Amino acid sequence: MNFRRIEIIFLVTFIAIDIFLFGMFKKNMDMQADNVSQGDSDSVIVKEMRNDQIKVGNLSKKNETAYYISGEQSDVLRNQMGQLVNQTPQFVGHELESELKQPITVDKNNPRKSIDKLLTDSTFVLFGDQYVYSKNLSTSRNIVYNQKAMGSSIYSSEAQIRFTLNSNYQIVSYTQSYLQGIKSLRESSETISETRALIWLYQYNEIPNNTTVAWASLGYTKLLSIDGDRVFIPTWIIAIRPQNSTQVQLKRINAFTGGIIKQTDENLKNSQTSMN
Amino acid sequence: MRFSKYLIPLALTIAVVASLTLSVVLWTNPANYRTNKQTAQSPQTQQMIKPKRYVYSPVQAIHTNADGTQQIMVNKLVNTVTEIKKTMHHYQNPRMKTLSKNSQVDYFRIANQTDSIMLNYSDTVSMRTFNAIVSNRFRKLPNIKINRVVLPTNNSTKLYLLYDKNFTVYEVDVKKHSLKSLNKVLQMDMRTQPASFKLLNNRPTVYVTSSVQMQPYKYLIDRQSDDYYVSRLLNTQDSTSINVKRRKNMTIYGDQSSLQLTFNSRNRMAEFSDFRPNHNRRSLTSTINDSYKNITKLGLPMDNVRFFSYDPKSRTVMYRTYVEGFPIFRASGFGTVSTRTLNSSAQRIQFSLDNPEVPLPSNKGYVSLPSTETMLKRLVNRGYNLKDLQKVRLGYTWKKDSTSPLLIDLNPDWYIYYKNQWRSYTALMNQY
Repeated sequence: MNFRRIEIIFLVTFIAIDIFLFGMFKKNMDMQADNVSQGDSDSVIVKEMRNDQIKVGNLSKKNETAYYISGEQSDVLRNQMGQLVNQTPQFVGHELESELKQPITVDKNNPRKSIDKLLTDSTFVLFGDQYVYSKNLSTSRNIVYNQKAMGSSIYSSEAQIRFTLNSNYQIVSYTQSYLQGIKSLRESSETISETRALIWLYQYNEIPNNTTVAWASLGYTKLLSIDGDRVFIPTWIIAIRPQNSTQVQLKRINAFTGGIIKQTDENLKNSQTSMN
Repeated sequence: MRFSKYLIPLALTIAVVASLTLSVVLWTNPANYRTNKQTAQSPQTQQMIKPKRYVYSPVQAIHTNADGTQQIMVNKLVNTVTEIKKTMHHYQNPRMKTLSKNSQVDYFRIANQTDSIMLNYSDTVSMRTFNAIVSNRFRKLPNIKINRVVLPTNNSTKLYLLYDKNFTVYEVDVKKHSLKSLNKVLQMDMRTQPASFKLLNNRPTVYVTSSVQMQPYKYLIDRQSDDYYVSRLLNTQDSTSINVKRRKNMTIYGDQSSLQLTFNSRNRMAEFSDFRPNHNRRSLTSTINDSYKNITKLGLPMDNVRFFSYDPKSRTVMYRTYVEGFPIFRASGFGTVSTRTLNSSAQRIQFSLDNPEVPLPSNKGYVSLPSTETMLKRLVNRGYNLKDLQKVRLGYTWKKDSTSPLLIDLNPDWYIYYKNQWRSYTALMNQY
């Protein structure tokens, strides 16, 4: 009987030891995982950002691939604007400005759907199939389409269509700019992930406290122009909105090098202010 | 009653065994002692450091068709080597054996086998280095030397490793895997260049069998200031005072004792001498590892920079920037960065302060270069001894652009390793 009691005491002790050891083992495994994946140090920084009252949605950690691309500013819009009907097009400084003679009504709740359909008609808009709707840049009265390029789109007023709607949800006019001969300048390379881009922006002290990251998007923005040629680089465009404000600030991160692109593209900014 | 009699001793035994096993696991696991180290690197550094598998990568892929014809897969929309490397992460249960040694016949039978892709390193690397490409799957295989890797596109259980110096062929058997992704790479958008793989001066060489069309480039350069490197390289704890000497176009920074940094403003080159004691290791693997450590410390932009050559005599490791899969040569034959170990207390890193960053659209058409045979024949007719033309490569010549100091022109040319120096075909032809 006495021996049995000793056995029970031993059993209880060893079970306690087992539980303790297993806990340590578990912790050990977690630590190893920590060391292996860099992603975890990233999430630490993201947590830090949230502590600074910066609101961030779910971020993608996927590295994408992108190119250096170039396109040419040309007069092709002017040469072909004769085929447009029901409008009075004007070609001013590489931009086609057109007023519709008869406003076209679009779907009130989903203007994109109506315009997508209209864009296939080359008597309405030239090269319409080469543009894609930009939710981020559009507002209820100003619908923006960006020119497509190598699996992504260009964020630049030099490759954009902006539709202006009146209060009855009718398109009254639009301006279009177009880049010809878009091509890659080099084979594709890997870009940094959305998370990394945001972390770097944060580490450059470009995200103030009490702000919301409204959206982040990978697109091409202009790096430089040589004569008529424009060179675009893949860029993480990150929109930051201070709390209690509707004003959005755009920041750009070079998606290849992670460097911040300081000078804001005047035109890109203009299209933003017009939306506010 | 009988059952419960054994229950407690049994449970006790299990508990004891479990605690013993857990103790052993915890004690033998090194992670237990490792603290979760946070590396405090500035964002700039992180972004510039490219992993080993990027720097020590094969630089050329050659496809051998079912009928035996061969072609170089030239990068266009994708980097062909990178795409092929992506398919190499999942090899299982690798076992290696030596198929043949000192037999040129066997060597070329494997290298030129039909339905295969051959990945060529620019120079010899070791298995430890290659292992980085296959996600460490080959870590248990012996540390042999490798120049080329042959991936059959129709046999999913084998791959071959080739060492040029003594024509050794190793066969690695792996568990059956899908070849779908590898074959998909062949369908990607790329340019091809007819080629054949044979001997030149007893050295396996890729011959281009017809004239080559290559695109000249204009690049915007990334220009680093002297200060950037001074603060990175000379800012060690034990040195507080840095002296500066200026002589003509040379600026020399030193920390009195062990470190010296020299900038040449004329050719925009820099040299960093480190007279602190180093490991002074001689094996290929450790030289590459030490060299990698040194270049990452440097903070040079490593975009498209790849390992180019290792000279065991001078213990110099050279890296070059690649464009479309072809290396860039400066007039002096130099590349982008080189590291050299002189002895146990002297190491030297040479590097370029200007590096190509963004390609610019160029309206120049393609340039035509002669085939390898034609090029060699012309050189021999000029009076060169074929024996002296040791290695040949297609490459780009670095030339300053006349319009802006921030632009460079890259012009395609043949490069020949002649009398221990890389010389362009044009320069050799104009010399006599």
